Amino acid sequence: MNKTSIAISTSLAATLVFMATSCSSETSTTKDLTLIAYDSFTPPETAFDAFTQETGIKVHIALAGDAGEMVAKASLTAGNPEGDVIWGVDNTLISRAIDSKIFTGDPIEVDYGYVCVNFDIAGLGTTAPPITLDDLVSSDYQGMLVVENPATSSTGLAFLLATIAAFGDSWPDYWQQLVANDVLVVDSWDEAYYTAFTRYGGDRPLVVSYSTSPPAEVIFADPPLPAGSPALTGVATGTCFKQVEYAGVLRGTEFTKQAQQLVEYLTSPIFQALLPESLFVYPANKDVALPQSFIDYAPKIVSSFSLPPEEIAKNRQSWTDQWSAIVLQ
Amino acid sequence: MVSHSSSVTVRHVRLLASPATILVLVTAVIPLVVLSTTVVRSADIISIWQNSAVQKALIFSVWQALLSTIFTILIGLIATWYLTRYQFRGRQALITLITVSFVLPTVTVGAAFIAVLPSWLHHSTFAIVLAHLFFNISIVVRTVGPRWNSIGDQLIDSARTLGATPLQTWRHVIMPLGKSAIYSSATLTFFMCFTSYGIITILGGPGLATLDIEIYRRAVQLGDLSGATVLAVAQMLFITIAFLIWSRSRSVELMTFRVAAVSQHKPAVVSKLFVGALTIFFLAPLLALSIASIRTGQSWSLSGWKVLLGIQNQRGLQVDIWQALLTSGKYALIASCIALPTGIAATYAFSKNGSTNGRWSSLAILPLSISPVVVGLAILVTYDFAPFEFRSSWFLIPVVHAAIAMPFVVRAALPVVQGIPPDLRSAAATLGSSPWRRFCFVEIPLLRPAITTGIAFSMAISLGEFGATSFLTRRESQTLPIVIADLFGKAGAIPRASGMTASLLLVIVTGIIVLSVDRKPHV
Repeated sequence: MNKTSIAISTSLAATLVFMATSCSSETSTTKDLTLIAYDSFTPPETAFDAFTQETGIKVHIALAGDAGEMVAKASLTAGNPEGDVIWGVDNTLISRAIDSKIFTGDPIEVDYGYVCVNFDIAGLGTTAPPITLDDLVSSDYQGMLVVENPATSSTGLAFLLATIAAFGDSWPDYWQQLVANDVLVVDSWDEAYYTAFTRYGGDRPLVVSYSTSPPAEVIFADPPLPAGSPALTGVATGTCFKQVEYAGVLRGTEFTKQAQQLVEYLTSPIFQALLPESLFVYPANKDVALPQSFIDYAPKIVSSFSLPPEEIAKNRQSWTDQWSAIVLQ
Repeated sequence: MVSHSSSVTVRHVRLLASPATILVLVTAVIPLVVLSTTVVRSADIISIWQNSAVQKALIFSVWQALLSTIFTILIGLIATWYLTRYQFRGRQALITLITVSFVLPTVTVGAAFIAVLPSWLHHSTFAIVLAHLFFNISIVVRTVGPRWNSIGDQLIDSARTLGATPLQTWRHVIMPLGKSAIYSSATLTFFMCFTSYGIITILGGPGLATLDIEIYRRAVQLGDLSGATVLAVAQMLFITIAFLIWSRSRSVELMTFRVAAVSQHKPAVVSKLFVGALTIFFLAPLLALSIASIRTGQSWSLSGWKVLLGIQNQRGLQVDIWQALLTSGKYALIASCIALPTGIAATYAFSKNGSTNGRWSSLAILPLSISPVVVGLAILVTYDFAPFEFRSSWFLIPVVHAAIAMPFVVRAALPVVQGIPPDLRSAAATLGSSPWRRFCFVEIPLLRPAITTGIAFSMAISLGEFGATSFLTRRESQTLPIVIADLFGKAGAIPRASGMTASLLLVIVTGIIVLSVDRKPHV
């Protein structure tokens, strides 16, 4: 019994001492940089070794939730940032980030990708896959499509923006047709892909995902697919919205010069080559060759939809509200 | 003599409550005040309530919480009756299942429910109510159970002998004896459902949003920090005031992990059916999770397990599950080391404060009543200058976990502390032992059940916490729930199976901790 009481009091004391010491020691290290990124930023563990070797600077990665949460945090701490460099502010958020003055200097493009309707080849059976947005409202695909809610999901927002870019002011009519064609709306990408999509036991063979999901499916297939196997899923190449991600030096960092070096490293061929098969995005650096999985399984997107970031920032709330009124009622 | 000792008590009360007060102030109140003064535009304080999405969210929050509470209490009372009155095979296993379910990570359970329910039920209030029942039934069982445990067979038998019908016995004997416990569990259930987040986002689907979800959407998707903060402060005030009014005349009821002592009755056929259905209801989500962990696309495979445990390498996937387990374990330990002494000290303060104990102990609920995203943002703007530059320190995570877990420690400890007979202390004092010795040799042994329950609760809560953690985490120190979210963010058979496996692992680890810390029979 005595032991228990001693254990309690020492643990309390230890925690307090520990709290007091850890906060004073943590900030004293100098030549370390902190890179702020979204949760799904998962480059290989060795991704920054070349940078550390070259400059002597260690890189810590601070995760900040999803991209939206990350920008909310960065806006709130603009001028007194939590880190030195930020990775992955996309074109739907960049305008808000710039307006909140989170950067010093201009943010630069680090990667891009496409949000498109994917189809499950086995799930479609004998039905020919759709190609364009117009195809999706055809009765051939009635009850087949699942999309994400643009108010809660970035892929959902991208798909809504694709329809706005494609149809202009008449986009609400298009969505009315989608509703009439029994579109299913869920709140997040993982629910759409992993529960509603036929490939994972759902009843919808069409899902809003990325143009690079097919190579991911092949890489993560189990058992592994032999070389040259046909793809498991495909992309409706006429439904794509281009997502561009930016990185930049955060205003208020003590180490502007080093942070600038890190941003340069993020766009260097050695780092950019790691992106396709870890983040499933295209490298912004055009000198970087794509891996075989992308060449074989990611369709080339010749034309895609896009909107100016300022317009997205300005209308985001009214568009999603309007969308909710039409689709969710 | 008497006046002397009471003045000492008042001073001690302040002293004992202060760690808890500090914890609540530091993790919730101060950051929220700072955030409010930084971002809130005064016009929003009124105008935000005119927004139709906000009104809808408010109405839905109340509506689903009411429905869930009624449903949970109904089923919960029937379950409690069987679990406390009858001896049947698998009874202990069922109690274990119910216990573990309370502390399971919501996201995992939500996913499991989606897997079990037919698709036409996926996005419905019914699915939400069902999931809330799954989570909160243990509140009812563990609060009302001990009361009904104490009803002797003779009491019911004599009621029957005196001519009471079974219904009359229920109405006039059994219900009154559980009344305050039922009220107490209903309040906590309502509150848990009102602030429910993970379950609603997964099972509610688009269009069914609670206030917590609307707060999140404003802060993150729309960048309206001002509106989000107004709503968060309003929710906190509403819950705190509601609790204060509600608990004015009531004491906080026992919430223990063990329900024991059964009479030797054997259940009838109907009862067996009910118990069977209940067992299936609690087992199904876990089974669904286990099956999903060995499904890759259309085939059966152990690759999800192998990749997760590092036996098999997977190109494009980086999971260090051992690191995550270690980090989660470390945070859980620290969180319980903070929450336990703080919570128990606060309990002493409340229980010695005489009539106001229920009222003030309800204030411990405060950290739970604020949306995690707002807590995260508030902490960010509050601790951003030396020497209080805590915002990027990892220890902030277990401290926040401790604040979330503390209310449960208080709930587990209060009845135990109140149950310590005062003459025992005076006897020890008369015999010349110092207050410290009295605490060590008299109170600690008596506190044992509260301590074990408190540790189990706070560790389990820390292990499953996602909202605040995802906001404050670092790549090199990811917790298990963060790893799960990461895995579910990638398209493909292996990441999905590994994500399911990691969820199952979290369930198993939580279950082991709860059961091993808290396995001894109740006294």
